[in-house]
Parts: sequence; structure tokens; C-alpha cells
Amino acid sequence: MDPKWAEENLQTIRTLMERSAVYRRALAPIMLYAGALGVIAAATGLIFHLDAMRAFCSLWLGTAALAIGGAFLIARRQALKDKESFWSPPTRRVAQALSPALTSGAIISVLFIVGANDESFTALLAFFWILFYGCAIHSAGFFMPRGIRLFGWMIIAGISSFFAVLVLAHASLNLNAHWLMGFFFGVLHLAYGAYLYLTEKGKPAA
Amino acid sequence: MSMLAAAPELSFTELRVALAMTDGNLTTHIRALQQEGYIAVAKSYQHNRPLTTCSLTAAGRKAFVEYIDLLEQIVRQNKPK
Repeated sequence: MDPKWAEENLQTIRTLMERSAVYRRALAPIMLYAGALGVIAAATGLIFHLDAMRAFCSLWLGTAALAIGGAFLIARRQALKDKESFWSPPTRRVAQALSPALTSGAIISVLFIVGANDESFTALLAFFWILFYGCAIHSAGFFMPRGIRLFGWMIIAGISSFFAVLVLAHASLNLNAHWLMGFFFGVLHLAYGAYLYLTEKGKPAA
Repeated sequence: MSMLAAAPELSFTELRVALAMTDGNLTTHIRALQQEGYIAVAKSYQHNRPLTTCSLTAAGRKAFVEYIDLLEQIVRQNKPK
């Protein structure tokens, strides 16, 4: 018998088990929660005309903080309910996979606030945020079921195509970024969360 | 147990086909695991036909993780250097 056979088989079992564990950590509620926050934030930005760079960043970075905090709480509650540890190796791997792209997004935010403090740059900032977020989701998807990677690709392809069309058509980039953010962080997440909820409905979670 | 650890639930038929076991053989194994509290069995109907599904309980998942940890330890200790 190949001596590596046992090791490889155990690694396969562990990988499948860990992916299932992260998936069970309430992915549907997290997506629905994040989506709802995104829609509310977009509506707030549009109604109160929070178009200046600092106001735009404050709104959306604050929303991101609420989304991340809420996601952790939902995942932690699920872990406690299943009597599993929250900060387990699968969760750590997902957090590590998300970190580079999300950190890059944070750095870009600071650069824009300091160096491009003008309302006309908010759409470009939104482009970078959405792009980095799509990359983060795609990276995390290597430790989760394949659907998450596809969702990441959808975000990347969607925002890239949108801006490619604008650039090729020589259209102005001075558009209201709240619509963009509301669509990608709000509507898309709500749709994905609803899809996850409906496809997993009725299945008991161990 | 490996299959159930990687999926929220599986039907009796899916397990039987994947494991290439007879109905009686699989039922015996499921009953033993159920008695230990490692799996939960749910009976329902789908398209007017009875459907039996199995899923890991929290205790079952914990026991299986410990089992995998032990096997990995054994493999590591016996790995040729």
C-alpha cells in the first residue's frame, strides 16, 4: 500500500469536513444581513446626499464595520449552538484568506481620503472597494463550498464589465456611487442569501 | 461518517449507493450509530414516497473529529523519516 494513501485520504476527509463546517456557520443569514445593511446604507447615502468623499467613506466604512461585526456574531452564535469552537482552524483560514484584499481596500480608502478628497472620485473608490471585496470572497472560497468562489467571480466580472463599458464609451465616471454600492453590497448579497436560504431550507444542520 | 461530516444530510439511498452496501447491512450500521447518539435519522415523504435521511449530531461530529485527529496522529508517528 502506498504510505501516502492514508495521509492523503485523511486530508481529503478533513478538507471536506472543514468546508462543510464553515458553510454551516450561518452563511445565508450573514449574506441576508449584509445585503440588508447595504441597501439601507445606499438609501441613506442617496436620501441625505452623502456624496462628499469623507461623508461617503464614513457611511460605507461604518456599514462595513457593522457588517463584519454582525457576521462574526451570527457565526459565533451558530458555533455555540453546535457546541463547536468559534475560532477554529477553518474560520482562521477564511479570515486569513480575506485579509490581504480587505487590507488593500482599507489602504486605498486612506489614500483616497488623503489624496483625492473630491466627490468626483467616489465612484472610482467604489470600483476599487467592490473589486477588492470580490477578490477577498474568491480567496475565502477556497476554504468553503465552490458557490462562494463563483459569487466572488460574479462581483469581479460585474464591476469590471461596468467600468469597462463606461471607459470604452468615454462616459463620465462622476456617477452616484451609492447606487453602485447598493447594488453590489446590497441587492447581490440579498439575492445570494435568499438563494442559500431557499436551497438549504429544511435541511437539519449537525 | 465521512460522508455525513461533509454534507448537511444524506438520504438512505444515497448512502447505500455510495457505500455499496445492502439495505440490511446499512440499517444495522445506522442503528448502531443512532444508539450512540452520533447520527439523527429523520423520516419524511418526498413525492408520496417515504424518505429516510441521516445527519450527524453535534456529539457525532465531535466524536468523528476526535477520530480523525487520532488517525492523523498515528499516521504522523508512523511516517518514514
